[in-house]
Amino acid sequence: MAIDVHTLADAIERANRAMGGLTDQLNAADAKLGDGDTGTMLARLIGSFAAVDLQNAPDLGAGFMALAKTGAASTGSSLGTLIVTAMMTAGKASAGQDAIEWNGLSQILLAVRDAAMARGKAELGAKTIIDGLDALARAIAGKDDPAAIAAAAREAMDQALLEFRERPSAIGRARMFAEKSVGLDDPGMLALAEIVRAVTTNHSATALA
Amino acid sequence: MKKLINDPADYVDEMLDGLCLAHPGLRRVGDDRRAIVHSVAMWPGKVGVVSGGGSGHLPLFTGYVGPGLLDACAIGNVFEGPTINSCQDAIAAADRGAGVLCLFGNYGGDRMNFEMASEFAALEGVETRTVLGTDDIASARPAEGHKRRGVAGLIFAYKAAGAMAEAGGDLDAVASIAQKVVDRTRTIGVALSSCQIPGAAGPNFTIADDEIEFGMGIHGEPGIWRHKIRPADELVDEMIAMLLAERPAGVSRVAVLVNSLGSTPFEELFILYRRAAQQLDAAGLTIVRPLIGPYVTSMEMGGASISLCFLDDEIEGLLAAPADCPFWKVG
Repeated sequence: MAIDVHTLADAIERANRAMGGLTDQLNAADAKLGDGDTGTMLARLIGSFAAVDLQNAPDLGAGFMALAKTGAASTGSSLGTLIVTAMMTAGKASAGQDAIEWNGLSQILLAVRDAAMARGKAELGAKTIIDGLDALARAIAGKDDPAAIAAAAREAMDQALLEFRERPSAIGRARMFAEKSVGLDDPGMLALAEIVRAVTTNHSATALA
Repeated sequence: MKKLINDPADYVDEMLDGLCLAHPGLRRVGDDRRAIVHSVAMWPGKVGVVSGGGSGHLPLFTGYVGPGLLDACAIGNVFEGPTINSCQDAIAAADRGAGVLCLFGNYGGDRMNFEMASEFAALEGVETRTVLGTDDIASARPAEGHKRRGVAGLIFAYKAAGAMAEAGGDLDAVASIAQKVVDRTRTIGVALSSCQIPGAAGPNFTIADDEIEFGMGIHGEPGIWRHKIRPADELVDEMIAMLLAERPAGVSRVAVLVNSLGSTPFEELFILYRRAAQQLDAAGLTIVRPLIGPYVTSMEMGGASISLCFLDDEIEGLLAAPADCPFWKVG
């Protein structure tokens, strides 16, 4: 079994369900140094993704592109735009393919990481969602078993949060509060970790693990 | 914090509806109607001038759509950048075949979304240039001027770029004058009280009744210092001294904007302007076209900013050219 539009639709559905319980948590994490709207924005964005008819997308690349198009109309926030960039990048990488093999997921995540760095003009180590993507991509490299990928992904995100929590933020609004950011999770990285957890836990027949 | 609103989710759209009803020269366009254009016909071959940003700052951004200023503007939710689609809609609306200048404040979301919209526009054969407003001197040191945020001084760049486009300047000329004005404009603000995003549980930041924050950004970004409030003249002296520390050589004329961040009244703005004029005169600078009032706000935030645009003959001429939008008329 490979990753196809049904896998993608299932992951979106899981993430959307999880946002019901994550919205307040992510808003609270963002409110410590920011506007406090990360959870609300993500709930709106992922909700718009869930309304996309992925099951009838002609191929996986078209499915990702449909998500990108929907996202582009849904949010103007920095994090939201990075997610749209991720969908476009994955769409280009899987254009015209019905499915990609599990062992190809790491390469797509690395491409997403690089695209997000270019779009956000961010470096690795700045304590952003990009560091989470980097940890995720490296952790699952060379793996082709969905259950093993799921376990490695969860472990990588836990480690990334632990590693970066005590570092100062170096980009965006949080950089202006660099000292205060020590000891706090980056809201974008935390959101990625929680969504990875939601997508990879309690697996069904078509999901990630 | 009390507000005269209905459902917070409708705040931006209801505001835009009211703006366009009050000013019939403006109308909403695009799939989500989050781009604002003016109804004066743009002649074929005119360079378009577009801006955009989050809501909550009126008259910025949409209030500066009009002949001689912006041709179109993309608008997002409160303190959130406009969507990529809205940026695309604004660029498309302003395109008359000679390219479009995207002129907006240096904020991550706005920059990323206009970049992506410009890439989509390029696929459709529309050439764009980007100039970022970076006038807030509190947000980064001079050596890192490219990291500074765009605040109230952005309107001087709107005016000059709009005038250059009306005069028939090509895309390079319009982008060049916008960059020149940005390079010669500096702003510093002081905040007295917070604002609150509609629907949020609390204010955007907290500050004691007897405190003032020097250099705070228009979304509550931290400033340079926070202390007990001081007399207005002392604050203006410190603000003007910081602004003049970056005065270009050979400049003798300056445009001044004393701007309310929302709830600070005209009376206090004129008290600030009085002292600023004294200090600029003492520095050998002649004030041209002073602007005093709420030009770039943060809803009900208390406080003010002072912007200086260091003039040359070209910029001064463009600032004097006719322009007409709901909040700024020249000529």
